[in-house]
Amino acid sequence: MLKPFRLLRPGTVAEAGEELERHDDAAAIYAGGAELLLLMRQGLLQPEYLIDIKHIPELHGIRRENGGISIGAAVTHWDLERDGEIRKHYPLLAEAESHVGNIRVRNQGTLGGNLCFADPHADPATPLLVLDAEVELGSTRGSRVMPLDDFLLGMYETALEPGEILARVRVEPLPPGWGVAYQRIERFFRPTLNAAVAARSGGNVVNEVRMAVGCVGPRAVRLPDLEGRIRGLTVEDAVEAIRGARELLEEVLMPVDDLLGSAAYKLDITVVALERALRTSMMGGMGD
Amino acid sequence: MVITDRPRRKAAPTRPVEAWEYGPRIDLLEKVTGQAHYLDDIPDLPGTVYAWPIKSPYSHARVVSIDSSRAEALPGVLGVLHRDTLDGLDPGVRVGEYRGHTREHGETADQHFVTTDKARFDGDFLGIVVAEDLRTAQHAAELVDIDWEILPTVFSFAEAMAPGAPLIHEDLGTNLAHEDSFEWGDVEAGLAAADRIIDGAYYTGNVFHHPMEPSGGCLVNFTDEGVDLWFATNKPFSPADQIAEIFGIDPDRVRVRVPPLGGAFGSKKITPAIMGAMAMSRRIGRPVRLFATAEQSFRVTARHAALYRARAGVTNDGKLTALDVRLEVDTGAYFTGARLVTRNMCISSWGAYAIPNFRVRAQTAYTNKVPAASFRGTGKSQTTFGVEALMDRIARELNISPLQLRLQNVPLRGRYIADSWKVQGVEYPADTPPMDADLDRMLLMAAESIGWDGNAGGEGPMEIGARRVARGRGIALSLRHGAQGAGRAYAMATMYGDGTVKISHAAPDLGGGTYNMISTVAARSLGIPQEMVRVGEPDTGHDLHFEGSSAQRTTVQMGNAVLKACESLKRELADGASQIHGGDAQEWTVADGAVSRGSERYPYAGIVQAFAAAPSFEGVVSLKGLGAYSYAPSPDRAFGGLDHWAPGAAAAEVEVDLDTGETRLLQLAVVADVGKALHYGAARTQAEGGAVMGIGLSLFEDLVYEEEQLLNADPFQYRLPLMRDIPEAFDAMLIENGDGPGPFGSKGMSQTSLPATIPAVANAIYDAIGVQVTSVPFTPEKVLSAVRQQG
Repeated sequence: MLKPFRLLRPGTVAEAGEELERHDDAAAIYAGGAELLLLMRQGLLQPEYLIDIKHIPELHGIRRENGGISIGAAVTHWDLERDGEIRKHYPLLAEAESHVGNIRVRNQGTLGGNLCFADPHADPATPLLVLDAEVELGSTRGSRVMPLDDFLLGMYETALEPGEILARVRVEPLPPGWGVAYQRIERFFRPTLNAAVAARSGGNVVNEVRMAVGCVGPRAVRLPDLEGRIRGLTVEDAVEAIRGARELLEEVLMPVDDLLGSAAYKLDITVVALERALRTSMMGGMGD
Repeated sequence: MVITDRPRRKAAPTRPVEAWEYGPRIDLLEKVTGQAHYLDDIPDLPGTVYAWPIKSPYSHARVVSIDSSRAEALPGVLGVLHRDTLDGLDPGVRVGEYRGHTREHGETADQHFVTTDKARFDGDFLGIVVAEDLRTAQHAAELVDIDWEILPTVFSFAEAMAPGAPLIHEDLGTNLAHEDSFEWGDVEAGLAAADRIIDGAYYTGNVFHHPMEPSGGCLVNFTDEGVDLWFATNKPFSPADQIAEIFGIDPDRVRVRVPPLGGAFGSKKITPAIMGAMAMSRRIGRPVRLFATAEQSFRVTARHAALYRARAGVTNDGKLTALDVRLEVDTGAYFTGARLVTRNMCISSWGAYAIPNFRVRAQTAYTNKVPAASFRGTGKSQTTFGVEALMDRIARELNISPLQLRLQNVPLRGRYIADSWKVQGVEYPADTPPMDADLDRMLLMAAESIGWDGNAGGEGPMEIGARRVARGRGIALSLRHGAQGAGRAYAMATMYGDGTVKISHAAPDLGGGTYNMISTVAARSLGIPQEMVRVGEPDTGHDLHFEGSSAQRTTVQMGNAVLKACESLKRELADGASQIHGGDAQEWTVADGAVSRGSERYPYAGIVQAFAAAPSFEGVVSLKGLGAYSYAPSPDRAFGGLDHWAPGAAAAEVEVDLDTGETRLLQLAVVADVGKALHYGAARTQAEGGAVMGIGLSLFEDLVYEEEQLLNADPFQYRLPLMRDIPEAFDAMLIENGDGPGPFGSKGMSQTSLPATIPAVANAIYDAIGVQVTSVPFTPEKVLSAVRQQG
C-alpha cells in the first residue's frame, strides 16, 4: 500500500531540477511510474514528493535531428514500438521496445524512466549501446550530453548528479548495409538475458560489428574486445571466436547465480544469443 | 517471432450441444461486468476497522521478545495481539486443515492460532495489528519490535531426515511427521518373476496454488451474539469448530458466509491471521477487515514437495508384474494436510495400470517451508508425474511404443484393481468399484488429436531460423478416485408464489461454475427455465451441511442433494395440490412446471399462491423440499469412500531449443471422462483450465527457498503460464457415457487434466532429447543440462 506523498508538477526541466534540488532524497521523479510505483507499493522507496514530469513539453516527442533522432525521456515504450521512423530506421530499438514488460507497462512506462532506473534486467539499454546512443541531461545548471555507456554505472546506478534529469536520448542511424538482431531469453517477465548485434557483412566476412549484452551482470555492456576479435573473420570463424570467449564474457559480464539461473547457464546462453544474433544480422536483418 | 507449423485448432464438441449447455453460465455476466461482489467488494459494516498481520520474515527463528509499545502508541492504532497480549485465549489451538492430526503428533506440530516459541517458516503468524485505517495498521506492524534468535533451517526431506538435523518441533524429537503404506499382492515375488527391473526417481517441487483472488482475507464481526464471518473459502463449515474452540463459544453461534471466489485450488482456508482478526474484533467490539495481498497469499499454503522413487518389474513383452514405490514427502512447517496428502499419494502412486503386485511406503517430514496442504488433485500431480515418467523409461528400455505399453497395461472396463489390500499392514477387502471408464479409448483419442501413432522417436535436430531444435511427443494417464470426502451434502429448494425457485446450499463457487451446475440440475429436475432458479450464497446459518467444494465432489454430492431437494419439493407440490384440489397426493403428477391430474393442470406458482391466498394460511408464501446425499459410510480401507473412477489423458508435442533448453508446447490434447457434462462449456473449460495449470506446473512454477527466506513470493518472480504459453493446437475432449453417479449420469472431472498434463510434457521432452528431466518444473537450465548428457 502506498504511503502518502505530495505530487509536484513543474512545467520545465529547469523547474523540475529546482524541485529536485530543493527536496533532494525526499523526492523522486515520476513519469510512467512503471518501476517507481512497484517499489513504493513494496515499501522499498517512500518519497515524500513525487515530481511529475509527464507534462513537460521538452521531454516529449520523437524528432529528426541532424540526421539522427532525438527521443524525449517521457516518450512511452508503446509510442517507440509503434513509431514509423523508429521502425524503419532503428528496427533494433523498435524490436527491443516491443518486448518491455507487457502492453500495460509499455503504455505507461517511459524510455527515460527505464534508463534512469537502471534495472539490470531491462530491454532498451542493450540495443541503445549498439546504436552508440547519447543522453542529454538537464538541470538548473543547463544541460550536458554524454554517451549512454558512460551514463550507466551499475545496478540501479547512473551518472545523474543531484538535481539532474534525463531529458532526451539521441541515436544516429546505422549506415546502409548493416544488419541488426535482438535476442532475448526469459524465464520471468523481465529478460534473463538480451543480446543486440549490428553487423555489416562483406559476403561471408564480418566487416563491421557491434555487440552488447544485457541483464547478465550489473549493467548492459558493449563488448569492444570481442568485436575486435571478430572483425574481419568469416561467420563460422566469428562464431568459433564467440564460443571461445567464455572467459572474456565472464570477466566483462560478471554473472551471478540467482532465480533466473546459475552463472554458468547464463554464460552458456550468452554465447548462444550472441551467435544467433550475429548470424541473423549477417543475413541482413531481424528475425527469430 | 513465434514460428509454428501446427495450425490453430480447437476440437469440435464430441456431440451436438444445445445452446443452454454452451452459452454463458449464470454467474458470468455479473463477473465480467464487475457487478459480482467478491470478498473485497462487500461493503464495510458500520464501524469497520482494519487489520495487518505480523509475520515472521525468517524461516526458522526463536522469538526472544516482542515489544509492541511503539505500535500501540501510534495514533489510530486500536490494539495489537501477539503471544503476550492474548486476552486469555489459548495460543495452542490448531488452525487450518488438520483432519487426522492428534496431539500425539506433538503439541507444537500443528499450526497454532498464534506462534509463541518460534517461527517455523517465512510467514509464520506472530500477531496482528488493528487500526482505524489500513495504512496506520500497516505502519504499526512495522513498529512492533521483535528480538529474534536465528536458527538453522531445513528445506528438503533429505535435510530434515539427516542425522543431527535441526528439529522443527523439538517435542517430537524427530522431523518425521507421518508414515503410511499401502500394498496388494506380493511385490518381491512380482519383481522376482519379472524379466527386467527398471527404476526411476522423480521429484516434484513446491508450488503455490495462485488463484487470481488472493488467499487469506476476511471481514469479521464478533459480538455478544456470536461471530459473523465473511471469507472466501471452499469449506464454510469446517472453521466453526476451531473458532468455537479458540473463543469458547457454541459452534452454532458462528455464522460463515461465502461470496463468489476468484479461484481456490485448495488454498482458500481459515488462517491464523483470520483468527487473529476475529480475536481483535472480540477485543475492541468492532468489525475487522483483513485484506489479503498476493505476497501474503504465497505464505498461506503450498503444494507438498515429493520424491517418487520406484522399481517396476516387467516382462520382455511389456507386462507389468510389480511396482514398488517409496515416497519422500515434505509437508513444510506444520502437519496441516500431511495425513490426507500422504494417503492420497499412496493410493495414486500405482497410476492407472493393472499391476498384480504393488507396494508403496511413504514417509513425510517437516521442513521450514510454508505448510503444505490440499492442492488441485491433492497428492496426484506428484505421483502421476512419477509413475508416468517411469512408464516412458520402461517403454524406451524395452523398445515398445509408449502408447502400446500403456494400452497393454491399463485395466479394462469392469476390472477390479485388487481383491484385497493392506493399509499400514492391516488387511482389508478392496472396496473400490470396478473400472468404469475406457482408459484405452482415452489414450487413443489423445494421441490421435496430436496426430501421433504413439511411437517414440522425436524429430530433429533441425534448424528453424537461427535456432537448433528437436521435437518430441508424449502421453500420460491420470486416475483420480472420484467424489472423495466425508460428510453428507444438504440442499434446500424453496418455491415462491411467483414460480421462482431458490436453492439454498453451502457449496461455494470457486469459479468453476458450481452455481450454474446447481441451477441446471434444479431447472431440469423441475422442468422450468433456468432463469426461474436462483442460487443462494453459502451460509452456515441455514444449517445445510456440506463438507465443501473440494476433491471434485461438488457435482456428484451437491448435485445429487439438489436433485433430491427438487424431488422432495415436487412431492410437496403434489401434497399441496391434493390439499387444495382434492384427491390423493399420488394421483398428482409434478413435471414441466405444472402439477396435473387428468385434464386438470396447475402451474407450480398456482399451488403456492393458493396457500398464500387462503385466510387461514396467512403468511405462507413458499413450499420447500430438502435433499441429502452421500455415499454409504465405510471404514477407512484406503480410499475413504469411492463411488467412481475419474480418469484423464493428455498428449503433448514440444519443441526443445537444443542450445538454450527452452521448451515450448506445440500441441496439447486432454481427454476427460465426465459421465455427462451438465454444462458442456463449463466442463470443457475445467478440462482446459486444468491443462493450462499443468503447463505452468510443468515448465515454470517453483517456490525457491534460500538461507532464511522464500525468495520468489510475488507474481513477478513466480512465473505463471501466460496466454502465449498455450499452444495454438489445444484440444480438450469430453467422453460422455452417461454412466456416472452424479445427476443425469455426471461424474467429477475438474482435477483430471492437470496431473496428466505434467508427465505428458515430461515424456514429450524425453522423446525430443532422449534424456529424462526428472524434476518438475522443466526449466531451460535443467533441460539444457539433460541435452548435454545426451552429448
